[in-house]
Amino acid sequence: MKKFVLIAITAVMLLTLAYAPSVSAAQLSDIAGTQFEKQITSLVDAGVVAGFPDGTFKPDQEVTRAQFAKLVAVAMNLNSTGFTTSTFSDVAPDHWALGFIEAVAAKGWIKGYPDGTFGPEKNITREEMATLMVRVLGREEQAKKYTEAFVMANDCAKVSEWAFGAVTMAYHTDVQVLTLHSGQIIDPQTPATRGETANAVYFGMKPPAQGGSLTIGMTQEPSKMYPYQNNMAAKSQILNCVLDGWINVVPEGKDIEQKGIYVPVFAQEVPSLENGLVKLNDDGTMEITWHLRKTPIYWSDGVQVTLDDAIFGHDVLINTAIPADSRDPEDAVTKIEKIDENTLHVVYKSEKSGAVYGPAFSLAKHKYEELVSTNPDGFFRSDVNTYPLGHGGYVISSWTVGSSMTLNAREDYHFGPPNIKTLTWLFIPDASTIYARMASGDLDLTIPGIGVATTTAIDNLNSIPGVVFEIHPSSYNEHIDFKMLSFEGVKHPILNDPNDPVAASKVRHAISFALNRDEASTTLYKGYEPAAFSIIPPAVAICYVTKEEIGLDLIPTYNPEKAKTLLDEAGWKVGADGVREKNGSKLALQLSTTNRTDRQQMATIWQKNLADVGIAVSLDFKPGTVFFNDNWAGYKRGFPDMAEFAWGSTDPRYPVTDVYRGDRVATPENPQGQNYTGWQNADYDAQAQIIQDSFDIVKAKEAAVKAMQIWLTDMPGAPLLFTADAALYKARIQGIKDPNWSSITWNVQWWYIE
Amino acid sequence: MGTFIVRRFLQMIPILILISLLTFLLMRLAGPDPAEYMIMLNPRIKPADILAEKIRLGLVSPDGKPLPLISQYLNWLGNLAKGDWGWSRIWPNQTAFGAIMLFLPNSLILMGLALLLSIIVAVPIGIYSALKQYSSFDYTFTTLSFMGMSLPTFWLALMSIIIFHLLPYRVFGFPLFPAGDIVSFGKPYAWQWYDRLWHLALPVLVLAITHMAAWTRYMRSSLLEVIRADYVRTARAKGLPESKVINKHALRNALIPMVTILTLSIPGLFGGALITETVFAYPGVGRMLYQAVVGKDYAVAMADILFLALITIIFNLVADILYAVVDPRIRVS
Repeated sequence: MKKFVLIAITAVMLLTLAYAPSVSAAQLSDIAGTQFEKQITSLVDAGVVAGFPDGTFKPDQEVTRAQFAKLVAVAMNLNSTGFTTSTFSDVAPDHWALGFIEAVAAKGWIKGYPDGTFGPEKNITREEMATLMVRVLGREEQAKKYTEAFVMANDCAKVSEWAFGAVTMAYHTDVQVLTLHSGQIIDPQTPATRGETANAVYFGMKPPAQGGSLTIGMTQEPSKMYPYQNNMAAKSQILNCVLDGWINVVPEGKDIEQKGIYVPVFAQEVPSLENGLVKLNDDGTMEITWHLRKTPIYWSDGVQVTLDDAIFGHDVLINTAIPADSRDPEDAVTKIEKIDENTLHVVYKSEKSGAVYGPAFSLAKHKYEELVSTNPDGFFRSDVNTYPLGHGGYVISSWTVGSSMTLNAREDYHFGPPNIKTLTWLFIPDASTIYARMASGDLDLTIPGIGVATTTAIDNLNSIPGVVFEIHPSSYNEHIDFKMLSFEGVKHPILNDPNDPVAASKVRHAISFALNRDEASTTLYKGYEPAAFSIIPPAVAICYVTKEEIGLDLIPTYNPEKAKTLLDEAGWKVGADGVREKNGSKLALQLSTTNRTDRQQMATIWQKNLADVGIAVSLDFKPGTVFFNDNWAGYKRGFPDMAEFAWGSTDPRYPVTDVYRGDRVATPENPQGQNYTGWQNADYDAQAQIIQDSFDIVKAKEAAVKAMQIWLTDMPGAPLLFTADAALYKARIQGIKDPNWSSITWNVQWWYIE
Repeated sequence: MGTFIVRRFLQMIPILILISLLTFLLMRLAGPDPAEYMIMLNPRIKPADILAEKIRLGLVSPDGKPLPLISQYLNWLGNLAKGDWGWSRIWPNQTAFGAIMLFLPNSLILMGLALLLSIIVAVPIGIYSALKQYSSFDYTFTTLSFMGMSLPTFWLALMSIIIFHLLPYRVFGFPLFPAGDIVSFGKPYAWQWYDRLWHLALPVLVLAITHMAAWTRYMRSSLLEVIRADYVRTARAKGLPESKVINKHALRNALIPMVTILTLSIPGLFGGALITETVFAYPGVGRMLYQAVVGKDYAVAMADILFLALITIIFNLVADILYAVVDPRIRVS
């Protein structure tokens, strides 16, 4: 008996050691840089948890239910002494955690299993932890109204019925005691780790602060808020706060490693071939079944969002009396019908992967239907342009055109009230002013891409106290387009000049191999904008292809000797002045680009590189608006030989491969073509079609590899750099996860100010 | 006088028509039209939507046939006569007239205050410089004037932000003056008169400095000319005290050309100040016109240019009339 007592005491001591304060946070060796570093540090410093005697915290180790009870009891300052009897049949009166379990149970936070047991030595699962924490936070009543797990996650269906409400609440903006696992999944039945419990308890003790406001600066002002026309970066940043949709794309990871994960928002799950919600029929048609969440979602005027709104949005988008930037893929819909209140069935005439975003869910039928049917022009000029009715976390409350827009948080937002109550957007056309106003604390945040210039940010990294500088890859690829007046084997009505040097594949390859991209990257961007080797930048994460996947022999790398050999083979021989000649004419080309300072410096590097191999390059810099006016509009292309600019995409799934398709060659009949090179290749076109339409991501990616191989074999353009964007924000703003391809505001509802 | 004014008003009509035709042609011939511009925004736009936009813009007839420039112009002129200014492409739900009315008052306040400040400071300096010609005071302010005239506005504007906004923030923890905007958006005192004035401080200062220089020179040279005139010498010869000579004879006459210059500078108030408005994110009409031209907002650009032309012509006329009023030697006919 004596021996048993001794063993029991030793066991208790050993177990409690796990949470006994013995090592300070600063000394913990295995938490630096991990997901929950901040939360663990804070709890260790507060004496709530402790590391192991060996100086580790083991954030990935699992936690038993008894240990978690102790953690909660300590964190919430419960009196755990004086308990001698146990409420639960499997917790012995001499159990080391009896006091803690009883103290937490007395609060009503622990209820045990229906059979009266507690299972103290079982690992606590994530949904159990969520349940307990929601009770701790006094949100159980609110949780009871949920009949499903309403979370932007891909495994909501796996959540146990008894935990629907708790798991939903656990992810609410003002709770945030659970985080998602890789792939944006809840993993409800997986045991919680020490790090995750620390996070849960941290937010249990200190929920995200409610209140405060943000002042956001950007160089653009939206020309209208109507969702389907005049799309521009500034508008999508704001619309992200005002509107939700069927699904969303969420960034996971940082920088070049960042991936985009599709998650359901209003949809119960993201339709895919695997889950059977997307069906490809033998006749080439495609069917998608959408399931709307059972939880009611409301427009900001209090009217419930229904499938009729989705059908109405579709109808407006295909209504040619109302302008739209693009009606794709809605114009491929042959049938759209409501099966029941929560099920929508849509048939498309061909495979359209873009349909994964669902019939546009951005217009309120009850508000706009009458106007659309009686007076489409009046609808187009109605307050849908200025104060559109939305179902997102914020509502536009005022817009002083030319200056500022104010958004107020919606307390009844379906994922919880946004923590930051007011967003004030300032439209500041001058990027230098934005920088000065970040430095003076005037602004809390600038928008990547339409805020401070990347080069300014790189030069001043860490120079403003309390401001975070993040430079991350953007979805733009800086490249040179060769304007081929003729191309081997291809006859085109307006492109036929055998004397044009860049019409020869060898010359184009020589130029591409002569450019020292690494020099430009290092001298101008300190490597933040890496050398490009294709037209798909890493930010287009889902279709990004690596050098190795393309094949290293195709990748244009700096190799002046190879460039010289290629030029020799093409018949261009070095003349007396060092410039190459053929049939009496010199190899002199013009490089046109915009007059942005860093572009001018870059073009000067290219000029020097090309002079080294015997090509005389003259530079032509124009203001951006003039350059794009001249070059962008259809067949009236203003550049004679080479134009440097960037293409970008706003979705990690879709690269800009489409612009090099043969049917996009700009002609008088097809002025909207954006293939300024004149290059046509049927094999490439087929791959580009697959990239655009295929629902199968593996197939799309394979097509991307093939397309890039074909592109680099013919080299209609020269890849230059994968560009970067600069996000600047005050360090006290918590929760920012900036996607490389789109709006930093995608999760603004969850941000809070510390 | 009456016939003079009527005749001048009648002359305005052909001038305005010519100006509108020229600006119309310049706008239409400069690069692609707004519908083609939409291609840049979205690669997947359909030709049918581009055509619809062209019809909406009046570039193509409703049955899809391209309209010659002259018919486009006549249609635009006809609509204008009917009071239809056309819709803005850039400012939500605004007609061209609405857009101008949105920005013009802001510019008038900014430019008016800047003009007032520069005159209040420059006129006394100019007088003093003229009276003490070649003194060290004169040299100092002549140099400063030329500096004020030559400093680029954008540089001056950024410097003023650094000196009066950023530096005080770094030293005292709060900025002395705001670095832009029209009011403190999101603050309860936004739109109060003192809030507006506080925000006007730096842009007004920058504009005043650039304008001041010219006014100082005008005043100085005008007074110098008068001081050497025979009647001033006569006034001195008949033994008038120097203060009377200057105040009653020299200064009054020296101010006559100033009245003309002032009247002629009023149309400038309606034009706004592009660079200052851009750096300070001030919603003025100068920035509006620039954005309209760059963004191919035909309706707004045309309306604003025509409006500016009208104001300029009117104030030219006013200057002529005023000149006759203040200077009895001049008669209009």
